[in-house]
Amino acid sequence: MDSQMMQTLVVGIIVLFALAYVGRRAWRTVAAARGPKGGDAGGCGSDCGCGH
Amino acid sequence: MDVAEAGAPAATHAPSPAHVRGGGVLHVALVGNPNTGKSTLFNALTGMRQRVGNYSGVTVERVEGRYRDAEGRPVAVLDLPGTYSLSASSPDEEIALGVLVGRAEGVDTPDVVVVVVDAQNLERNLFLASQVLELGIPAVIALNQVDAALAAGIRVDPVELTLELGAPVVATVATKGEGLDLLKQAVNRAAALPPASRQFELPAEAAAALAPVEACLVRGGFKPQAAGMEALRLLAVTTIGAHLSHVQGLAEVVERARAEVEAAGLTPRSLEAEARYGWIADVVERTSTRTHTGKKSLTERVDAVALHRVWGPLVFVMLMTLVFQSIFTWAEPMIGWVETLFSALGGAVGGVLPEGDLRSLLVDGVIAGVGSVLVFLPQITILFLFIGILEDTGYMARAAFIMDRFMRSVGLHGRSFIPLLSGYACAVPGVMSTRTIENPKDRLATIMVLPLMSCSARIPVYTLLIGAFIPSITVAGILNLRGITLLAMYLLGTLTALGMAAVFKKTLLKGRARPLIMELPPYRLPSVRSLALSVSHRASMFLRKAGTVILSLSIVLWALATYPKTKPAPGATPETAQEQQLANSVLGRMGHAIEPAVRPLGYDWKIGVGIVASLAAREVFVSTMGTIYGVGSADETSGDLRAKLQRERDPRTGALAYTPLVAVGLMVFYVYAMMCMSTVAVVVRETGGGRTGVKWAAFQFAYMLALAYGAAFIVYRGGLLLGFG
Repeated sequence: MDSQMMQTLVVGIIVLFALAYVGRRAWRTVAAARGPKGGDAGGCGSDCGCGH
Repeated sequence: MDVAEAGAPAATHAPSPAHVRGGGVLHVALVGNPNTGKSTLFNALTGMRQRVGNYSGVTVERVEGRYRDAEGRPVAVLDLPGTYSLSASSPDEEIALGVLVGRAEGVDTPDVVVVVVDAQNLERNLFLASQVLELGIPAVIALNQVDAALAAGIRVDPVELTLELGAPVVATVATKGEGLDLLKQAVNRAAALPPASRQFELPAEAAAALAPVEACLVRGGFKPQAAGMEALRLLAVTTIGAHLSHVQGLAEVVERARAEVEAAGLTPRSLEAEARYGWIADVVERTSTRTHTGKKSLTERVDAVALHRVWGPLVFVMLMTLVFQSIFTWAEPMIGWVETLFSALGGAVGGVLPEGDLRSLLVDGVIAGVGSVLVFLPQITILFLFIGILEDTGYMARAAFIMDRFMRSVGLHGRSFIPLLSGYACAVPGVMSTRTIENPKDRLATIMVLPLMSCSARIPVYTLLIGAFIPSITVAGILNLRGITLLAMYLLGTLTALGMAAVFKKTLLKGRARPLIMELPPYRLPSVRSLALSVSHRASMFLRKAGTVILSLSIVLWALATYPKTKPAPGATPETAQEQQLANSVLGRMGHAIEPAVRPLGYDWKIGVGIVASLAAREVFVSTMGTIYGVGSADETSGDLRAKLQRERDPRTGALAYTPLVAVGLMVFYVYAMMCMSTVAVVVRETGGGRTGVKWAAFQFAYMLALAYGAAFIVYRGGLLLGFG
């Protein structure tokens, strides 16, 4: 496998992981909107950037 | 005076494990009035070992933490919502009462309760303390802020207070960490001490009238002491709380008791207050001394100006102007350093890796995308530093008081301003803090307008555009046009929020404005440690967001902007080839599809894509532009994003694509548009969830998008007509 193909493969894996993370975040945001249940506060999550 | 004195009667041994439930963990609940330093005490006890969740079935935040006592045993601390009494008229107060009487779903009854009392306001704080002490749970009183009390000429004797209340009293200064060890010892020993009980007598007729109510509560599973407190409390409230719904026949028994009390010539609604405050007045007289100097305190002297009808609002505007000027003036050099750092990093990575997709991903996707957001970390930090100073000094409460006049003029409750102020940092906790607004229509109106308050996520967008297109000109000798522009965006959002609130309160959410009653804490110097912790916490959250959400989106956007690959046309220059590649990519095609919708506002497809991507988070607009201009640039030395935006030309006409007018229009768009899915999600939840919540969130998104589009259109087209193009 030459260098270019290797780079493309690595890039593909990174992009897939990024897509999976974005999808998971979107799902958690939708799930948090469903209603208050005991447990995590949701809605904001811990990484919304506002420190809450 | 040694502020770590305690009035705790010595116990000869720590509580046996029998007093502590399963797992050897001691469960402690922290309760107290707002502004007593309860949260500061909680933070001092638990440090960063905290967890935030929700109480089951309600939208009330549940904050828990842990510490280890001197013997190494784990102690779980539950920070209950601040409340002035156990009257349970708001969701927060209901939760506090429910937890203390062991009726909160999913929460065990605490082993020990710590009641945080403000030494400067003993009379007001002892009302709640007296109610809690009657519940029969081992309790400790944390007499907090004794240093401020001494400075104000108030001296409280913890030993005398212990004897009066029948519960150990520990003097603390939570901001300085004083008295904490003694408090922990007292908590450990409290379970071995006999619980406190009611220390005052009710009139004989009232006691006789309440006896059947107490019996009914005991049959419903309440301990006799707690039944006594609940019975007295129920005389004054209009609704039986959710935690009492299981007690059969309670409503009828309470009605009969009220009738009997009235027949005895007493007032049921005020009986508890009269009895408790009568006793409290005697306690305060016996346990505290006050030295009157005759001089006004510093707080009174400052408030004479800060709360003045005319000077108060002026002082507020001047302070806000100072804040926004500083955001630009102080941060500008630091922005330059960060930009240079990322530019060097991109160059270094580009120099090490061979040409190919991986190099492009790292340089044009990750470094360009994430780096373009991280350059604004200095400004975010400065903003939160100022917010922290204004909060810690006690000025924020004054700001809410000043704004109450304006809030009532638009039909909102003055208490709405506190969540609105939170919106300057982030709309999500702002929306959640509307839970303290009792009136549902006021609460809903506040939620509907809250995202119009310019949050910190908008700062990267504003400062990118202001930095690129607004000249740095001195105005009136001391102000800078860039700072004024930033202030103008914040004012625009705030004034529009008030205007829309007025519209909602006159149409969809009609209702009367209610007067505001709130406690103004005394002014105090902000704690440097507390400020530093708070600012570093916010900065680390911002960095975490950059390293997760923004990084992931930058990678995804890079991929969309890079693929599919296009073979360059024969004879094309590198710049033209890059432009063609970008235009033919997935992102380019999506952008060109969106372009007709944004052209009327003066935007091209790149800004269109940036707007759509920023639905995830507003900062993503900046990282998207960073990625697009990184991918689309054949010249790796083409400098920072601001410079690239300034040089961008319309391929059709050759004229500059972005002008100050376009920039101002785009900023106005971001003032109004609801570009934050996290806010949408929390609005769905806080407005009732399910279909109702979705309906309100959809309405909010739509009206704000209409406002954004309309305002940006007016600014751009109006500016062109006036010759500003």
